[in-house]
Amino acid sequence: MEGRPRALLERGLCSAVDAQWLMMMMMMMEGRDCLKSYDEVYSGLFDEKGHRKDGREMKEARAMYARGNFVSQAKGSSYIEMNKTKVVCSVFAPREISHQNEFSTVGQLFCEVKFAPFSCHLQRQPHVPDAEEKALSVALRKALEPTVCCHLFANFQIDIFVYILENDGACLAAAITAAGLALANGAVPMYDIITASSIAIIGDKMFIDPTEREEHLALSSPETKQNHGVITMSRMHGLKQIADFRQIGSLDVDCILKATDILEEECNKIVPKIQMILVRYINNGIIQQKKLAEAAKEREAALKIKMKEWSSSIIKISD
Amino acid sequence: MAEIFKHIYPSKYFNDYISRNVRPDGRKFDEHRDVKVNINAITSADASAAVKCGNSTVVCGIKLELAKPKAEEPDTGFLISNVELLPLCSSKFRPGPPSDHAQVINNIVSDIVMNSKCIDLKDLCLVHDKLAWVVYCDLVCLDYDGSIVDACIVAIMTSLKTLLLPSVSFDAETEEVKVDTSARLPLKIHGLPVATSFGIYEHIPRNIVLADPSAYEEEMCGGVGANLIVCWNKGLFCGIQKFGGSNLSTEDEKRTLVLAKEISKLVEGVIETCIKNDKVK
Repeated sequence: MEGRPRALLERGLCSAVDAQWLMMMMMMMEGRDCLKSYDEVYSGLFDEKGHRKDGREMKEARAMYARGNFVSQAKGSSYIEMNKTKVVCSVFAPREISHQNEFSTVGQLFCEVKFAPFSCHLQRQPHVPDAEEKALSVALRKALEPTVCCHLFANFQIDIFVYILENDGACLAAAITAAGLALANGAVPMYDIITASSIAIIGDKMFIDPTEREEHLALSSPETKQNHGVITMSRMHGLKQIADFRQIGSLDVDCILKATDILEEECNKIVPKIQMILVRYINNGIIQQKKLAEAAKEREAALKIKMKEWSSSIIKISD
Repeated sequence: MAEIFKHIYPSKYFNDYISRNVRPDGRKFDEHRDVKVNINAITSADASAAVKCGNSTVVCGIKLELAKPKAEEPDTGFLISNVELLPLCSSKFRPGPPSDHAQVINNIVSDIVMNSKCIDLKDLCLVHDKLAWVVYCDLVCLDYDGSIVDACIVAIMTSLKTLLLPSVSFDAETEEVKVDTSARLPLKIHGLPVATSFGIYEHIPRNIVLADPSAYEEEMCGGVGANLIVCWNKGLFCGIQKFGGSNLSTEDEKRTLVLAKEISKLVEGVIETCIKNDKVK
């Protein structure tokens, strides 16, 4: 990281003072990582007992908090929190695709993933979507397309918006799970519940549900030819199908197969939580509907009595 | 049934409620929604607050940066607020550059914060003509259900109140800057402006003033957003703005001023308690 301001300075793009400021800013925002060597950062991922920095075991995913009905104005919405990673997702009712000449026989999904300006440790440029946001949007759409029954709403599009309030790794996995929950919450026809999980691999170590630091280190390639990379996999539980598989970094085949098995298990662990949330909302809906039906019956009965009174009074008048 | 009626004949649906002296969500005309505040939920920001006014949700995150002060004002720092109305918070907003409505709301919010003089920009200057803090306040709306300015002001003020500035040492000769994030000092805040929104609904025999309108009520009252925003700062009147909609009688104006004062006291209490509880933790 410290190379960037220096490069700017050398090319004469900024003054010496500016470069110093930039560097200082980066050091402040990035923490002390930028001055350390790869090995130092690597050993910084573990505590004395060999656990991860946040006290988790290597195979332990973060506890997840999820809920639906988060945004009152949307058709379906959800909020997912995995320790520091916080994601909001909302889904709107299908609408006709504007500015389109051809008729499309299958419905389309429009996905947009955005980071909050304060979501990362560096200040981000708001409004203009950067490369990472665009890549995540496409990845999300690809993962959701096999899950939603697109043929049921021809020539229509469903808008899915994901907002990452805070990013501490595994944000694509969180975004996919959140979008799946929001779609189900909004009663969009789907083949199955979709859940996603992510893993970071450095050498022979596998970090399940990685934090940002672990993810960053797995992607910054060291000199050696060891395994490194991040895999995000989304899975449809009931159909036992993989909806999307995304691997960045270089890994050997055995490692990928092993990681896939682990990810499958992790994805399955999330499913009961999502099912529980959905069932709870349906239950609440049924109770609500019963109440409304009872109230309607009472009103109808009252109206009938009134009608009798009126009709009898009309007869009296006509007499 | 009522839901369908609401969609096919919204004005009649709303009018039926108003003629029976009640609002569609069961509130009285002068009743406002509950305010919930949570602070420091986002650890990647230097200070943050999440605010819920009824369904309306706003999250404010503050990021600090250093910069050189403006040449015209070498003793002042910068406080930059930015309101984002995300497409996910309501179907009214589309993705893309910020809409006019978002910019208008941003202007109202920054005007209120600046005019109340609750922050002295001179406090943000570290070294004369050399170094000053830039406080970026990003306000994001996660759920747009009316009275968004109220929620934005609560969010920005709460996060500014909890903001801790790192100590900075500046070497005048080498112009070297050192930031010590372990030693932090709070920013001085000289007041607490609280805004209260009202919608004015055209009704016979007299127009009706609705405190803290929801998105649906705002739509029914005409105009974009709330019709009237009254701002009080610790018992001092610090601003009133009226945007389109129906006309407001003088008696109603007086009533809204008094009502806004009461509400602002309550909201102040909520913010103070929230910060106090966080300190105890």
